[in-house]
Amino acid sequence: MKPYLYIFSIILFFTGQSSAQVPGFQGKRFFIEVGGSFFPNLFYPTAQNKGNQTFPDGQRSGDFTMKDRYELSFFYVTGRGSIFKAAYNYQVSGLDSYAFTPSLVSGIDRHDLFYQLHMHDINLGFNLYRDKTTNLAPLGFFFDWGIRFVFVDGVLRDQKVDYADNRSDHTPYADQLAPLNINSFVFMFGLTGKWGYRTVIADRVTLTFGIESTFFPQFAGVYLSFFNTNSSNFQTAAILNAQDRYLLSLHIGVGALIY
Amino acid sequence: MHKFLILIYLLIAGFTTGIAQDFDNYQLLKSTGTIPGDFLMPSSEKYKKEIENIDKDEKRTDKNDKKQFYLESNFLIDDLLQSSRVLFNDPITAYVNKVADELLKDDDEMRRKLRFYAVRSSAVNAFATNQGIIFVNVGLLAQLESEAQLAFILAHEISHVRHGHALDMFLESQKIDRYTSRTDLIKQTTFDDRIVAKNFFSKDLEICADRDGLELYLESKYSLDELEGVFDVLQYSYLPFDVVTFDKKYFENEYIKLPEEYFLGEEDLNGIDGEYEEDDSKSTHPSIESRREANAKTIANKSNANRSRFVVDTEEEFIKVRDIARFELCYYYLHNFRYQEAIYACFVLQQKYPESNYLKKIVSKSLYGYTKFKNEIKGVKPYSVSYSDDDVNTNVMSKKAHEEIEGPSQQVYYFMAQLKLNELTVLALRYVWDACQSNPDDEELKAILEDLFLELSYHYKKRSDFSSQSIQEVKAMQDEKAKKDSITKEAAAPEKDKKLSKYDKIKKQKKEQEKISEEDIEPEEFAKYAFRDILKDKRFKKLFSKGQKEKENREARSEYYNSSEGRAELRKRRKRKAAALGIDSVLVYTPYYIRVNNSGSKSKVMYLQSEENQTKLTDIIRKNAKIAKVNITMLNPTELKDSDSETFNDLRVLSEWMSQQNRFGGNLLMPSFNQKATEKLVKKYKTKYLLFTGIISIKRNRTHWVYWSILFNMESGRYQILKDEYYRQKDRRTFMNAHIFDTFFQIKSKRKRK
Repeated sequence: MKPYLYIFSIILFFTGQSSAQVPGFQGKRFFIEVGGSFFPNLFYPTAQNKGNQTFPDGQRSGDFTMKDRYELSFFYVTGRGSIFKAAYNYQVSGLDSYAFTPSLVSGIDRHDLFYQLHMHDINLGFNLYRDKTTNLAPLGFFFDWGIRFVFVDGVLRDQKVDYADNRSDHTPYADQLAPLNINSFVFMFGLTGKWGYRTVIADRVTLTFGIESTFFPQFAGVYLSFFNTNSSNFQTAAILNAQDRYLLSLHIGVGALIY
Repeated sequence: MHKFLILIYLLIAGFTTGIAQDFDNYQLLKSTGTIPGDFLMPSSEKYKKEIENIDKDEKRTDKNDKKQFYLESNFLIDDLLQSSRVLFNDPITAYVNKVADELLKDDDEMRRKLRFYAVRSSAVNAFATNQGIIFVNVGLLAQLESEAQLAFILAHEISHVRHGHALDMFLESQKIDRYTSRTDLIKQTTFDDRIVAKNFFSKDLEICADRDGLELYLESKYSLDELEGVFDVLQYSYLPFDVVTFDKKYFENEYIKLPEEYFLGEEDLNGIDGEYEEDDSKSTHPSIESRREANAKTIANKSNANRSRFVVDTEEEFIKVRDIARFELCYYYLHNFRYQEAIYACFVLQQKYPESNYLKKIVSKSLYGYTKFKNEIKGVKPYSVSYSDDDVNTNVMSKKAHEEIEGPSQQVYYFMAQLKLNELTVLALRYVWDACQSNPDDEELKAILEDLFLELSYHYKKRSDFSSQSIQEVKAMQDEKAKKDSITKEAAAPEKDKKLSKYDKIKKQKKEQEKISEEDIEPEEFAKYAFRDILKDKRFKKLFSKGQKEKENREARSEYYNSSEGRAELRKRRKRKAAALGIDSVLVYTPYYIRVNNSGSKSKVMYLQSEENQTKLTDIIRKNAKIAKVNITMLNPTELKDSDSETFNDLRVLSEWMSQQNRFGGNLLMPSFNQKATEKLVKKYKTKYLLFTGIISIKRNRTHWVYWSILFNMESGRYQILKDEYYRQKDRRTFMNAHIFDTFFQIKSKRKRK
């Protein structure tokens, strides 16, 4: 008997076929992954003020820096080729910004500000497996489509003031400055996509690689802003910074199949 | 107490001294008792044992060639041993062993080394392996005339083993291959020459085995007169095991009269020329004539005194064993869809065993199988897969199949090819109907009969298409009517009707209708008269209308799936990648795994890796079935214990069942030819589902693998392909786990309720 002939010679016979429910890997549908996304940091400083446009005065530090983001994701296999994903991401970026306040003497004080941008995001989406015959969720190549809600919280870490009277001391003395009044919180909504590959490397352990990108519609609107206030300056800079952080990254994750 | 002991003794003696076989209710042979070690030891272990004996000082190329031989030969032989085609502890094997004991009674060492097994094959052949196993085909036993002839063949094979010819042949062919490839000799010689060169050595070995075998034979008490007959057996091995003129009356009875033109005249039958390998110089074996002459020379001066045709047993016992082999062959032909050969073999055996139900059933099944295939091939049904005549010319279904056949069996080929499809269906149905009458409780025949009524419905729409009278009666009636018409044409006045009551008129009209339908019948169409005695039988009526209804249902289904609505549903089904069958337990047939290295110009089977991975695959199947909560019973020859001969037989039944269903192709939906045995297994293992699953791993530049899982319903023959996929990745455990789990998941999960 040549068993392989079976697969080539048999004509599929339909017998009361109906779709099966979700298999998952050996029946395990729920799994958790921790991972990170990384990419060379080219345009903005890191939280430690290294890289391009560092504080103060936007100088380049000369260090090679990486953008990094960390993720905790929860997955539930919803179909033979689809997984629902809910993830929390966190990253910190640096931002060299500026603001102007009226001088307490006369003229305008210029503030060079260094913020750490704490970006928290919730990412909801689906992992869709590309080709159902060779990929069976959660194994194989997949596309991840989803949405991202990003909460950016700017924390001022350093400040250099060019006083209107051209004094040599740039220290921001509270009694010599008008209040900045900057709203340092930004909310962003984005559309995210990833192309990745997931496999199981040991009993219950998953490994994922991918390349991902997020686009925020707010990014398109930042140049249309007519209000040139300190807050809008910060928000524009923060949006640009966040878009840069989320634009492109390489992802790696390790997970555990729970049940 | 004494009586009890005597009874036990008699029982034991009965089992050991005689072969109890009821040929009228013949049961196919089974392997019994303890499974021999040859069947149980893994091939890799056999291989490792053998390579230990290779001399370390040999040339590296020789060592490698030997290793390759041990590898290939062990795995190939084990493939055969585990294919369930080989028998052990059965009457044929037992008989062969007795003859071998006699031949080697003075050579204990050799006797201990050798193992003999019968093989289910129609080929008139026996063959020896280097490992000391000698296989004797049932087809050979069926053709022999005496125990002495078997002894000579065994002596010949023993000498192959004694001299290690299989290894010599392999090494020589390796050398030829290597030489030709290195020097590019192949370009300077023809392909034919190369084959001859390769087999020239084999011819030498054959001559050597004949010579040595004859020496061993001469030491025994077997008759020298029988040697001539052995070469006759070989010369005419392409013919059936007996040559009996096939009688037209075989299929005829009171109700069936077959047309003369469906049979060849005596002058048209091919003669038996017995020409066999005329060109000695280009044959793989020495010609039969030259072997016959060489043997005759050797024995010319030997005395035949105190020699006999039968030494270890009586002629009666030999004939019994040979008949067993012949009965086995009938089923073997059927299993291999060689219907005409099966019918002819049964015809020959029925001369001796006219009441054998087994033979009647084989003929019934052969006619049934032939009818089903022929109707399918010719596209009788709207949904059948039809082929052009060209496609079937090469096989036994072809109209020209009889042309190459010699001897009286040619008549069967010719006759069956002449039958029109409706006639064939009627003939098969009538034969099976009659067989059912003599075996009213036979469930297999009942199922076949019912299915044949379905086949009949594609040729005949109503029972009145058949005549309830014989040809003679119809002819007489026609003559009578013609006479009446000419004399009393006007006498049949309409006013006569006026005196008849309403009910008389109805009766009269019915009678007229009957006459009219019988007038339409062409007397030469035998099929129309075949059911005249049973046409009004209650059961016939019931089955006829059941067949018609089933046909209508099928046609309605077919029409639905051709409609836009049906096509949409099919498209929807195709989109679904998975089934939800809701099955709790399945029988798992030996998981198949083979790894092929396809990196060079040649494909090479990686035997050791394949065996290792097959074990891995078996474990993965067990593990995932457990996770998916599917109860499985794994039938795997590599896991058998020596006491599992019943399971060994079960594997054979399943293997044959799958092989037959594969040939049926899912469209025919017919029971297999040994459905009764399959249904016994359904009861034994408490499931009707059989899972056949396997992996082919192909290594090219990178590894690819093919995985399939097919779930058969052993009762209906329907099957579901759960997996039939090609993966461009390595067959790592993770992927195997995922896809095998998916198989079981599809089996276990139930239909979602919307």
